[in-house]
Amino acid sequence: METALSDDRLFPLLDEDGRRLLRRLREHPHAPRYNYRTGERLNQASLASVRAYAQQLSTERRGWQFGQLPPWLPPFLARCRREVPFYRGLPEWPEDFFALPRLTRQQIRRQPWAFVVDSADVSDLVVYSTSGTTGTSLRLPAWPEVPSRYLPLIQLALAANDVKLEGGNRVSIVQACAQRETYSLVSVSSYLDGAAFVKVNLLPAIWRDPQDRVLFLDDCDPEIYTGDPFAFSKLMELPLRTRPKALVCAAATLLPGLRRKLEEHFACPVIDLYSMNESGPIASSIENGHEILPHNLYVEILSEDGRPCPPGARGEIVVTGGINPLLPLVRYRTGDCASMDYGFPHPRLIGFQGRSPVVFRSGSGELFNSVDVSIALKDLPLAFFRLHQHADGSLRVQADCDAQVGEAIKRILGTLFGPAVPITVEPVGNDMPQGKPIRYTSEISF
Amino acid sequence: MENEGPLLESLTHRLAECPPEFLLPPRTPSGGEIDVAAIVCDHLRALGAPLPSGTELVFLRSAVDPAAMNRLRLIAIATWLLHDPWFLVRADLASRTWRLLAQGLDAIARVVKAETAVADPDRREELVRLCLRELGLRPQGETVAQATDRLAMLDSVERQRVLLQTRESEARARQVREAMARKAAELAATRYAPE
Repeated sequence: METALSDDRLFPLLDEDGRRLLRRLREHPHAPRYNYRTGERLNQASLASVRAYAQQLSTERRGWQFGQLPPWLPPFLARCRREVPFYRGLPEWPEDFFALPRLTRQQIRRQPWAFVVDSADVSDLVVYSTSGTTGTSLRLPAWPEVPSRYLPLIQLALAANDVKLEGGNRVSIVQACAQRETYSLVSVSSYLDGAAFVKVNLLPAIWRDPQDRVLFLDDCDPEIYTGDPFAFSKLMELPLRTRPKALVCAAATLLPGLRRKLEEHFACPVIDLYSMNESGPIASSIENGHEILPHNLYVEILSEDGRPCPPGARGEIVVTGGINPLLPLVRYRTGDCASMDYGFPHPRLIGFQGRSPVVFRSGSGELFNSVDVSIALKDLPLAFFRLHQHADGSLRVQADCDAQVGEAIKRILGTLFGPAVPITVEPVGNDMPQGKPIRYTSEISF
Repeated sequence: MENEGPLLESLTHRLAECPPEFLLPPRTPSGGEIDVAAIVCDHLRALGAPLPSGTELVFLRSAVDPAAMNRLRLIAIATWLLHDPWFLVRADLASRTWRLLAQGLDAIARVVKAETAVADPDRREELVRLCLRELGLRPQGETVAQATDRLAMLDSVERQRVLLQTRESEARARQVREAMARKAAELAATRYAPE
């Protein structure tokens, strides 16, 4: 367990109730083997900032019409050009917003520090490293309050489904994971009036006794679960006695079949949250689409050549603004697709197609998430990597690699999948196929 | 720059031949060899202009630090430059000449050494062009746009400003990178949903 920061620094606002709740969960006889120690790291000022954000979210106008810009956008752009080194360094900055260049993940990856506003205090800066379900890792600077800003956005998504996240002296949120490598941790949230948050890995090996999963989660009895589709499919396998008010599904596209199954099993709404590390939550599922959530995020649908798609036409989702003041985004390409409908109080993404959930199968029959592949390969210098698993379990890799890196890929995947799984590595050279540079596909279902 | 002045080359040549005496240490209460106030007054007298009062001339004899000394030496060599016969027959330039010597060289004196303004071809040209601009003149045969562009390219003050800004940007980038590398930063803060 990491011990670099004490509870005083992890939880500056911790009161006696919160301390008792933390201790109870840390010392719970059926708790998972926690392998990470972190906290909300909010002080009075940053808590006030989160509350102010929640207030703005409930009072400020969300939405715009096609071709229009919301009033907050021009001053935001001017500040980016004036105070953000990356944007200041661009050779051109057209007056017309729709002529501004699009920002890519690679540009952020190369110099994330260049997105930090000149005047920002970086003394209490935190960093999120993400391998993501799509591969290439990012290291993103943020203030500690940024993840807590997710909470009012999650509350907003829940409210649209008549669910209220109440908080208080209880476990409010359990994040379920099903990955070979991930953190298990416990935290409390002052924004939720001291309610606890627990992140657990559902894979049995992480627990002292596999039966502990049910005993612990039933004892937590959280208001909601967050997780990805694969984790929820694993959660459904547990004979839980308790039922949450809702499931909030993120990180990969929730397919309708699984969604119906989850709703029936848990007898609660299942909300699909479209969210990215770079921008924070973007939209959440409602009736026939995904409603844009933040009041300070401008979402466009652009054609391949960067022109705005009219309402109803499909294109790439591109976002401006975002939840993180240390990573202000201007026309950031998400790589995800949808069309937009403005015929509602708040714009909606229609036919949203994000990252498909991809599951692989090891030689011994164990199913695991594609994020495990990303983590295993994270140290290799790969700008292009595609992995496909055939129904018979064999693997086909296409990558921009030389013979040495190709051997490293085989070795790493051999360790992950097991020695019996056949692996073919095809260097792609300069003729890289079109589409996303990192992509996983699988004929294995879950 | 509204009026045409002399040939640029004639002035840069004159500056290159500036007598070394003009670069000697200016006389101040703590010593020195050349009296810059006297040099300036001689020039104004040659132009037929009224002389500044004793109070107005105090700054030409009172430098206390190397930067102020450099400014006085630049004033001395600029006076040598303007003592070219082309200027001496134009008494209407007298008031602008005094303003140039009294204030117009302050900024360049902070970033260009007087010796360099004589020895280096680019800095020579910059000083000549700067003096012409302050007198409302442009080099013979150039348009206003050409003269403005050329001076902008040579502008040591602007170059220094950009350099400082670059250094500040680099320092800031280093500060953020170091903040991102701290162990406490890696421990991040709790996130409530996967991405």
